[in-house]
Formats: sequence, structure tokens, C-alpha cells
Amino acid sequence: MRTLLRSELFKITRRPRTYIGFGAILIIVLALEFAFYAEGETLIGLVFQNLESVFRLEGKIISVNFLTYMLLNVLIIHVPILICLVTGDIISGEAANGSLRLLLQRPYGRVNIYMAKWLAGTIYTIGLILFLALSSYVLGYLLFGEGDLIVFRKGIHVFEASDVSWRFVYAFGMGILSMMVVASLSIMISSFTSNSIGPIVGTIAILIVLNIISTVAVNLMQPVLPYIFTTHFIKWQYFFETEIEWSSIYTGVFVQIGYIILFTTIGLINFKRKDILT
Amino acid sequence: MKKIVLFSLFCFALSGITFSQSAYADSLMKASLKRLESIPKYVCDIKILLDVEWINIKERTGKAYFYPPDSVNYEIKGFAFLPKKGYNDQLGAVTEGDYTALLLNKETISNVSCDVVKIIPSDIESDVVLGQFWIDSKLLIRKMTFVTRDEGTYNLYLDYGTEKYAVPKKVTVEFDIKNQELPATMTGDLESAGDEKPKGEKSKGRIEIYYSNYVFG
Repeated sequence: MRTLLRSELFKITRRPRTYIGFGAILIIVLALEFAFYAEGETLIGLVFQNLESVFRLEGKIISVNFLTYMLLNVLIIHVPILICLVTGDIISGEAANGSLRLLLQRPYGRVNIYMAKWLAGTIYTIGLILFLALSSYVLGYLLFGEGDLIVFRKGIHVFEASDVSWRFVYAFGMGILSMMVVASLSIMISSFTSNSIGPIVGTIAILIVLNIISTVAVNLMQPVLPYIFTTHFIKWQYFFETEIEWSSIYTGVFVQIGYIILFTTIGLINFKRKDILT
Repeated sequence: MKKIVLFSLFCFALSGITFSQSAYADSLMKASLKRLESIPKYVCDIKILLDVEWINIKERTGKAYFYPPDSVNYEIKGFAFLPKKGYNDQLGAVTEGDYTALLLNKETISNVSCDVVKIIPSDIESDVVLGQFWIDSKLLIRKMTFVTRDEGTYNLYLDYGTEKYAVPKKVTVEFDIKNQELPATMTGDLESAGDEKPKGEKSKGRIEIYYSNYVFG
């Protein structure tokens, strides 16, 4: 299994598309952080326009913590696409170029091969999120330094700088879990097809549809929303509340783990039964 | 004829009483302001507590630096919401121009009997349209109310300790505040997108500032 995993990771590192995700994240981080460096005060002025008529705001608003929180919002929309680029191709790509047949001729068993691919995809996903965390934190720290975190969620929450590290650790952990659902989904779809485009576009289409349902048809879909995995993609934000709704976070964790198991099981069963004809 | 004379005398006496009451209110106000003007430069520790329904922030601590006549600088650990205008600013806004002072009934604030003085600024363009002050026998202002043109009503309650000068140990500011509304695309708060409060709805806010360890310079 270790040899298989090493081999899968090697294949991922050899693909140019692997670095598209890291490059895109770096560009997003650089763009947002320098935009705030140049015009942050103006942007924040718009946000605080109403409050400044009543309050005298003392202290730094834009800090490394504020920017890292802002960049975490990128998770919901952009990172799933970047993950699909690699994980959606992980089985179907090899099926398309014929190397999957060669791999299956080796004495590893299909379960091990699928799980090695799933693990490699998961490691890539974790790497991408950690890269987002690290790049946004390091650059944010250099440009803005430490400071309290101001969060606009169900009102305004202000957290002391000393009270945010653990929240970010949990939030990024929750983000990794959500992105693992995306990776598992795209690997599952990848097991059904023999071309790379299908799983990537398919996964993105599913995410877009579910996101629209979750945000637009909130009232209509209310009864089923807790069971849709995209609903829980924003659960990381719950760690940035004064009174944390732990029960809601636990629900999010269980639902997402459930989906990871479901997608991986379906993919695995399909992969085991699949006729590899190319 | 007799009735007319009596009525005229009554009116004259009444105007005399009103004038003397107004003069007393004015002198009381000026004496109180003089006590405030005598406060020298100082530095003190402060503790700030904010109570606004939709703002969650823990207690903040720091230092306040006062430079006569009315400049205050703060050195707060972290981010803090402070009143836009301190009691010095609001007081100045009402009393620096011409005004009419009226003496109202006595009232008790924090178990201290106070004279109530209403101040009506003469400047029709003034942002503060009305001020009311509760002044105790030591010429300390215990409560101030300001009715402003654009920002609603402010109430300031001042508690005093044992300091030599007219500096408070606690100031409570009550104010009107509009609900903050930000687009979800800006905040990332997609969940709350549907359940904002009606636009422009006002609620009451409150800031408590505790002052201690005064060092006068």
C-alpha cells in the first residue's frame, strides 16, 4: 500500500495541472492581500460608514487574522474547482491513456489501488488547504502584522488576537474535511468514466447546482438542507462566533464524513466491478 | 381697571421670577463648566464595556490621556469601540455658542439631589438641538442628555470617586444606533443573507467606561 501511495503521489507531482491549484491560490492570496494593502482603509471605511457616525474606532482593523479569515471564504467557491482538476483525473486520466490496465496487472488488488488513489487525492487536498493557510498567514503577517479579528457574521464579532489561533486551526480543519468530500466525489465520478473532462465538469456542475439550491431556495429546500453536503461547506465560519454552536458543527462533521464514506464506497464498488477496456 | 393693574403686576413678577431662575441656571451651568475647565492634564487606566445587541466584543482595557481643554487620546490593547463624542465634546457643542438656560425641577440621580438645567442653543444650525444637565451641589454634572439633529438622543451618566478634580470614575453612554447591514458577498456570511433586520431600524446601545489610577500632570 505504501509503495502504491508513493507511486500515486509521484504521479500527481509529475502532472503540470497539480501546480495550477497552488499557482491560482498564490495569485488569489497576493491579489487580495495587496489590494487590502493599497486600498484596505477605503474598503473598510465603506463597511464601517454607519458605525463611524456613532463610534470612535480605536485600533487596527486590517490584520493578518482579518485577511486570513477573508481568504478562507475563497474555500467555498474556488478551491473545489482546483481540487477537481487533480482528483477528477486520478482514475479516468489513467483509463484514458491506458496506464490503468498496466497498473491493474500488478499484484496489488483493486481495493488497494483505489484507496491509494483516494489517499493521494486527500493528501493533495490537505496540501492545497495548508498552502492557502500558510501563504495567507505569512504574507498577511508581513504586510499587516498581528491584530484583533473582526468578523461580520450575524452582526459583528471582535476576537482578541490571542483568541484566534485555535479558531483558525479548527476552521482550516473543517475546510479540509469539506474539500475531502469534493475530492471523494470527483474520484468516485472518475471511476465511472474513461475521460478526464467528465469527472471535473461533473463535480463542478454538482457543486454549482447544490450551492445554488443551498443559497437561493433556502426556504423551499429547508427540510433537506442539512443532508446536502454543500450546506456544511460554510461550517468553518461557526468557529468565529462568540457562542459557538457545537451541535451544528458536529452535524456538519458527521454529514460530511458520511458523504466521504458513501462516495468512496460507491467508487470502490464500481472500480472493483469495472471492466477496464482501454 | 384694577384687574388690569393686578394682571400687569402678576406678569411683571412672573417674568422677574423666570428671569432670575434662568440667570441661576446659567450661573450654575457656567460654574459647573469652570470646574471642568480646571481639570489639568492627566493619564488614567480605563476599562471599556460595550453593549450593542449585534456587536460582540469582550471588555477592553487601556489608558486615556487627557490634554486640556478637551482633547483625549486612547491607548487600547487591541480593537475597541469608543463613543464618537466624549462628554467634553458634547458639552462643548452645546455651551460654546449662545444659549438659553432654563432651570427645571430638582431630580435625584444615583441618590444625589441635582438641579436640572435645560440648555437651548441659539444657533438654529447646531447639531445638538437640546441639552439637559443634572448638576449636584458640588457642581458636578451627574447626567447629561443631548438631542441631536441626525444621531438621535445621547444620555451620559457620570459617577464620581474621591478625586480632587471633577473627573469621573465611570461614564455610561446610552445612544441610538442603526442596524449594520452589509452585503453577504462582502462579508461571506451567506447564511444570514435572508434574515437581516429591516433597513435602518434603530436600537439602543450602551458603553460603560471605568476610569481609575488618575495621575494628574
